[in-house]
Order: sequence, then structure tokens, then C-alpha cells
Amino acid sequence: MSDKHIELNHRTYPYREGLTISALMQENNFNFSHIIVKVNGALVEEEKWTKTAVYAGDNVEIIHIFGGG
Amino acid sequence: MVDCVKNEYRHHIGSHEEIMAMKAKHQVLATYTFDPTVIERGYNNRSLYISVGGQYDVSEQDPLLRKTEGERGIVIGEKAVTDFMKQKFTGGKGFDLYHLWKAVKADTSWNAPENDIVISPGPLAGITQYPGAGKSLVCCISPTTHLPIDSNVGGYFGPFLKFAGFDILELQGQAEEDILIYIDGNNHTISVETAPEEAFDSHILGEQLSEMYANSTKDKENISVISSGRAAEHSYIGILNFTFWDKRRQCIRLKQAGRGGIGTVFRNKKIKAVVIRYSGVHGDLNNPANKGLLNAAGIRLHKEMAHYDTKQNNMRKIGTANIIEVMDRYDLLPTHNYQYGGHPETPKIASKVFIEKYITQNVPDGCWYGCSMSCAKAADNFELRTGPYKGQKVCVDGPEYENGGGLGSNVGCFDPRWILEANFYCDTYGVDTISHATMTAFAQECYQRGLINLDDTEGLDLRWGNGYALNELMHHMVAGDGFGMIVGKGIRHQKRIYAERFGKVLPEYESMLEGRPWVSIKEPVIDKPIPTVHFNPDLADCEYLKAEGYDDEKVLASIKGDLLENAGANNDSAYIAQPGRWSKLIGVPTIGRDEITAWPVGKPYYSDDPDCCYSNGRPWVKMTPEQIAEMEEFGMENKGLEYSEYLMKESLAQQGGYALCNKGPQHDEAWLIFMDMVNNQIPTFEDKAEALHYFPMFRTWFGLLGLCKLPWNDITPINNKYEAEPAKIPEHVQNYFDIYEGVIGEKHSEASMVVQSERVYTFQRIFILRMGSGQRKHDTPPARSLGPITVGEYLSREERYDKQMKEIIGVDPTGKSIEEKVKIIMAYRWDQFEQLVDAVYKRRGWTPNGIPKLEKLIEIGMDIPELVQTVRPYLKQEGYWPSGEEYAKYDE
Repeated sequence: MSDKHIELNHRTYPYREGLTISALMQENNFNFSHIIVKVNGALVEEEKWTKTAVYAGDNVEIIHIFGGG
Repeated sequence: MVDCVKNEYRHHIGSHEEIMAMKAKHQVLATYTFDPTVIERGYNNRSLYISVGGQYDVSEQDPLLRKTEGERGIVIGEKAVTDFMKQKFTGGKGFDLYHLWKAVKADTSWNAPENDIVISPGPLAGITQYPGAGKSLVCCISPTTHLPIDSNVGGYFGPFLKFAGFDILELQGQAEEDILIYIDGNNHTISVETAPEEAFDSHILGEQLSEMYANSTKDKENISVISSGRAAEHSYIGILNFTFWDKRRQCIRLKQAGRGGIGTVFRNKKIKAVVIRYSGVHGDLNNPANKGLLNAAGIRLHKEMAHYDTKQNNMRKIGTANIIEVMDRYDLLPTHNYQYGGHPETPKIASKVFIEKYITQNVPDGCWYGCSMSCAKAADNFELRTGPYKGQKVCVDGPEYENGGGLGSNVGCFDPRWILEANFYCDTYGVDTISHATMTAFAQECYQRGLINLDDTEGLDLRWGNGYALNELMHHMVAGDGFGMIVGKGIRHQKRIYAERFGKVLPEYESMLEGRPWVSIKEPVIDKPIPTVHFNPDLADCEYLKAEGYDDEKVLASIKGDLLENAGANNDSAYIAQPGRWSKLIGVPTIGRDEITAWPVGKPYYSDDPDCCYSNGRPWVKMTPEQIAEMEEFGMENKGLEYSEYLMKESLAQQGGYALCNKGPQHDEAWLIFMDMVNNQIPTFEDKAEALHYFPMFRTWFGLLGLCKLPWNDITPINNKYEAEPAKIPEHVQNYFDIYEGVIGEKHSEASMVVQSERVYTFQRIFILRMGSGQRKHDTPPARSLGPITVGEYLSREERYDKQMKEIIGVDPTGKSIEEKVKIIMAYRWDQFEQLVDAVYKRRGWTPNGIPKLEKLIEIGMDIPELVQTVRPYLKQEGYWPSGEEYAKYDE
């Protein structure tokens, strides 16, 4: 198991080779319809999530824009 | 036109002739004529005051400018809305609280005649250019909390009141018999009349009064009715229903001021209804300063709704119920009294089930003109299976999310039909669905832990998911029947009654009860979650089956078989039993209320307590202190109000959002679960405290202005992703400042908005302090809101909790028992909660005991004498009274 990590929503998250935004979302059950993704502060448009690779040390923010109560 | 249901219950409503005959029975007790006004930039600058009778002190209240005195002590008059009120309190909830403060004293109880129901629509209410601008705010002293409660509600009444000429309606006093109030906004007259024959249930009463006071069928769109319902007679969770006429369905619709029992106060005053008529609505009636700003903001939002709603939240198809399955997926859907955050059967009550099977689509369901969000959905032609309207097809207003989360998962019911049935009856009986669901879930857990039993519940099998029994419980509550009446007074009341009267019989007394219909205390089963029981609803209906030729044995065999097959449940309580009736037992003494507290635990007695709603001679038994403490941990109330329907265990900010809420745990102050738990955008105590300042202030602001929260963040502009703080939806915040300027004529900003809200928010905090709450100890939540309190809860998310223990707390869970791990997790979370409270109080300018500091009052311009007098003794006692000459004048 790799000892490399990324930051996911300000929490340490294990890195692995070939990790993408879509994989991260699937692993974390982030399946809400209205989500903003930023990697190292830069916005990643939804159509690029499947192909956008995440690298060790990246700061990934997956922000749910949720109205709620 | 929608295939409407009203013909199905027309015989209950009555024909036009019958309704006019009811009107002929009215006796007019007072009339009043008022001068027409022109609204100036959102304000009429006057309020309407009505006392329906009774003796009480009005010396502290603002004077009546004009008044008339009718029969039986009725007074109708007008008060000024002053510049002071507008500057300090803005409108809506601010005006309500201002008048309520003047009307009551520190020891005023909810059922005192001076308790004041105050209704105010707010200065922006009634505009038609921007969605969600028809809200009224309602306040009074609550029967459940004994504190000022505030509740917001749609429907047409608030805007009509304003267009009739009043910014506020105050209802004080207590009438001698059932009355109604009629406000004719076009002819400028008001009358108070007896109303002896009209129905009580809102879906009928609203129709009757719309028929009675409209000039024609078309004119019904100019009528709005406020009513409560029969539940208000016997419960503390009565609501106010505000109607609007649905011209496509050709029937009335109901919107609710739901929280805190305002309907109970309404009925305590013997007010059956308030009816208003106003004809001539158009977009300029607020006399806005700059209509162009309103139009531009409105067009922007209408376009967003048209383009993005189906891709985002589906508000126009299903309203707030769109989040049922989302909450489940993120482990936030309260399940089995907030034990868990989801359930495998949630897909059965997912939004698409309601969309596809029940909710009428493609109908513009706005609850005020111009609302393109259109989320006030309805299920038409829904056939009821229980209660007084059994067999009728009705229009159900809903379901809202809280119906799914509360009347569904939290009580373990995953049958959409039972949810809609309970939804309908809650509305027409005038029951707060949120409190009802949470207090029922509490009773269910008590039942399943063996703290109460089938005899205590009078035969209602309260296992999770027994929709039939849960609806029956509501019918019992409304009828004022024993156990239903206990539940209907709330969790705090239930805890007291259960503690005094329900418990396990000591072995030495068991012989006294031999041969009696006593069901032994069951082993606790809560830590071994029971699969949800699914009755075949028709099979569960014994009366129906008997009518179909089944005998009792067949019915029971079918039901037990169904239960055993689906749930492996015991068959000793698998049916809806008739209430057990006890005769007096030899050797069981009758004792008075004073003796109850000193009575030995486990020794049976009869109560002669006049407050006791039982009269069946059942012997009572007191609970042990351990059992009482157990109930405190999972009774989901704070300040006497039941929690609303979100699981907050994994979000510290939401735990604070609930427990620190001035009126009790309602999510309309702050809903931070996703920001906190999922996005982790507010990781530090200071971040959370900032969010627990900004969001409650912004949400308060909606209540001051007469606005609905939903168009703020239940639709999102496409460019929101580029914003620095996307959770605030900055473009929509700017829309609100634009419409504020458009109506009021003054520019607004985030800073000025926050101060405007802080004035009222801080005032409300001092108000609850005045009424005996408002200190740190009162903001303490039940343990379950912070985390897992049972082995079952821990085991259900063991991997998560073990990981937290190891990585965050720094304790290795290996080798520890589940009980030990629960203690470790909960001790850590209590500590976190206390640190959060410290941070929030500091950010709000309060002392560590939760008292607003004098410096804060001065900063926001609320250093008015009555408020300073209220906080001064606390600040002095705690050592927070400031020194220095500039503060000397406040010490007088």
C-alpha cells in the first residue's frame, strides 16, 4: 500500500496510481447532482472529471452545493 | 383542470345553501371600519389589533390609535408601526417579537389570555416579480417550550393582510365561545362573529369559509383562511393552516405555520378561523421604489428555474421531497428515532415514487403569485384508509421532505401510502408533522426498549413501520384518548408522564396483577434492529376484513403470518388491540399527585391526578432512575421542541445549529450538514462559529422581510461554481439586496443585512432569557444528537467510529468492548460540542453562559432599556458587566 496521500476536502486521503476525480467521487459515494470540483484551487469542469488525474500531494475539493433544510 | 377530489367530500362541506345557513347562525359581536391606506415602500405603517375577550393587563402595550369595543369584551383597533419599530425590528418576525414582548410578562403561560398570536408578512411580502415572496411570520408563546416560537408560512393571507392595509395582525384574549374574524380588505371592514356550526378540520373549514365569503366561484381566489383543527383541542402541537385557492384544482390548498403549537394557542382563544378577502392583486401594490430592480432580479431567477431545475433539484416536480433519497445516500435520513441515517427500504419512499404514482404533475403549484419554483405539490384523488374520512378521495398537500423523513423513515414506515395518509391527517387535524413524527418515534423507541408496553399504549403496537398503528395513534390524539393525548403533548411531557407512571413491576407486587391484561416488560430489542414490518394494509384493517366476511381468527392469522414471514416478530402484539380496561385491584392503593414523587419504584398504584388523561383504572408503576436517564438520552427535544428531520450525528456544526436555535431545534436557522460533514469547508471551531453566525443571520433576514428561503439555494445559477464562497450563492444574495432596494429604496449589503438580523436575533435570545431559558444549560442537546449511544448504533457504523477513534481521538479501539467504545466516542464528542458552544457564543458577542453582552447591544443599536435590564443581573453575576464611564448610564 502506498504511503503517498492527497488532501480530499481537507482530510488526508490515500493516493494510488491512476486515481481520477471520477474514481474519487465513486469511492466516496459523492453522487449528488450538483457538485463543484477544484484541484489545487482550479475548477475542473464536469465533463473532464473522468479524465482528470489526481496526483500525490494534490489538494482536491469536492464541494456539494446543497440547498437542504 | 386537475381532476379534483372535492366532490368526494362535498357532503361534509355542505351545499351553498347549507353553508349560507351556517352563516345565518353567526352572531356579530363587533364590527370595525378602517380607513384605506396606500402602502409606502413595503409598509402600511399601522397594525391591526384584535382582542377576542377576557381580562388582562395591557398597560405595557403600544396604545391603540383608534378602537371599537364590541360585545363580550371584544376590542378591535389599530396601532402605529413606528420608525423605531422599522429601524430596530424591520418587519415580519421582528414585528411579531416586538409586540409579543409588549404583550406578555416573564411568567405568562401559553394559555393565558394575554398570550399574543402575532402575524406579519414583512415589507417585501406580496411582490409578484420575484419567487417566494408571499410569506407570513407567526409568533406566540409556545405550549411546548413556554418560549416565544416563530414559524413561517406561505399562502395568501399575509399579502392580503398587507394589501388590506395592515403590516401586522395581533390576536389577543380568550373568547367565550367559538368565533371567527372576517377582514374585508376592499370594503375596509372587520367583524368578529360567533361561528357555531362550521367544521373544525381545515380541509373542510377552508372550503366552507371560502364558499361563505366569496362573491362567486372565481372570487374564491381572493379569499384566504387561517384555521387550526381538532388536534389543537387536545395536543400541544396544533398548527395554523393558511389557505390559498387553487383555481386549477378548484379547491383550497393548505400551507402550514407548523412549529411550536401556535394552533393550540389559536384554539385556546376559541378562534375557529380568520378569513380575509382582498380583490385586486397586482405587482405594484407595495409601491416599490424601483420596480426595474425587482423585474430584473425576477427575470434572472425565472430563467434559472426554467433552464436548470430539472438538472438540479426537481423542485417543480416534487418540491422539497426531492432530497429524501439524497439524505439516505449520505447517511443523513433520520431512521428509527435518529438511530441511523438510512435504510435499505428508502427507495420505496424515494421522490420518484411520489412523482410517478402520486403527485400530480405539470401544475403550477406556487403558494403565492409569481413563484416559478412552484414547489407546493399535491397528491390528488388519494384514498384514505383510516379515520373519519376513511374511503374518501382527497387532495393531500405534500409530501414535503419532512413528511418523508419524519412520517416515513424516522418512524420506520417505508410505505408511501401511509406517509401520505399521515400527511393528510396532520394537515386537516392541524398537527405539526415534524413534532408529531419525532414524538411518535420517541414513543416507539420507548415501546421497543420495554419502557412502555402494549397496555400503556392502549393496544397500539408501536413497532417501527406499523403505519396503521401510527395513524391510529394520531386519531387517538385528536380524539383526546388516553395514550394518544400523552404523546400529543410532546416528548418532554411524555418523559414526565412515563417517569411517573410507567415502569416495571417489582416481583413482590406481581401477584397483585395476576390474571390481569398486563403485558410483561419485553427484553430491550433496540440493539438488534428489527426489519421493518410491512402489513398488507388491507389485511391490517380488521373492520374491513370482517365486512368482507373474514372472522377474527382468520384476520389475526393472516396478520401474524405476514409479520412472522417478513419480520420474525413475536405474535403477541401483532394486531391493533382494543384498549385494555382495568378494574380496580385489591391491594393497589390510590394516591394523590403529591405522593407520586415519593412513591417506591416498581410498586403499583392508582392515580387520582386530575391531569391524568387515563380513566380506565390502570395501575401505574414508577420508572427507575436509570430508565428515566435512558429516556433523556434518546428523547430528541431541546427547550421542549422536537428536533426536525435531519440526522446530525456526524456534523458538529449542525448539532450546534439545532441546539443553539433560540426557539428549539428547527433547521431554519442553520443547515450546515453538507458544508460541515461532507465538504469539510468549516473545519475549525472558528470556521463553524462563523457559519453559525452568518447563516442564522441570513435565514433570520428572510423572516424579517417575508421571503421564502427556497429560491435562495434550491436553485443555483450556472456561474456559481466560479464564486469564492459558492455555498452562499452570492448571485442570489445580490438578487435579494436588489429587491430590497427595489421596494424599500435603500441600498443593502451583507454587512447591513447581518446587523439588521442580529438586532432581532439578539432580541429573541434576550426574550427567551426573560422567559426562563436562554442560558448555556438550555442549549444542551440530547446525547443521541451527538453520536451513537447504544451498542446497536455503534455496530451499525462500526468501521467509521473505530476509524475516528483511532485517527482523530488517538485511541486504539482494538480489544475494547462496544460499550467502552461508545463511552470514548461520546466523551470526545461532548467535549467537542462544548468547545463549539464557546466559539459560537464568542462570535455572537455573548458570554460563556450565552448572555448577550452590553457591548454587543450597543454595537447593534439594541441598548434599549428593557433589554439592558434583562441581561444586567446575569452579566453582573458572571463578571461581564463592563466598567468605564460610558457604561454608567446603563447601570441605573
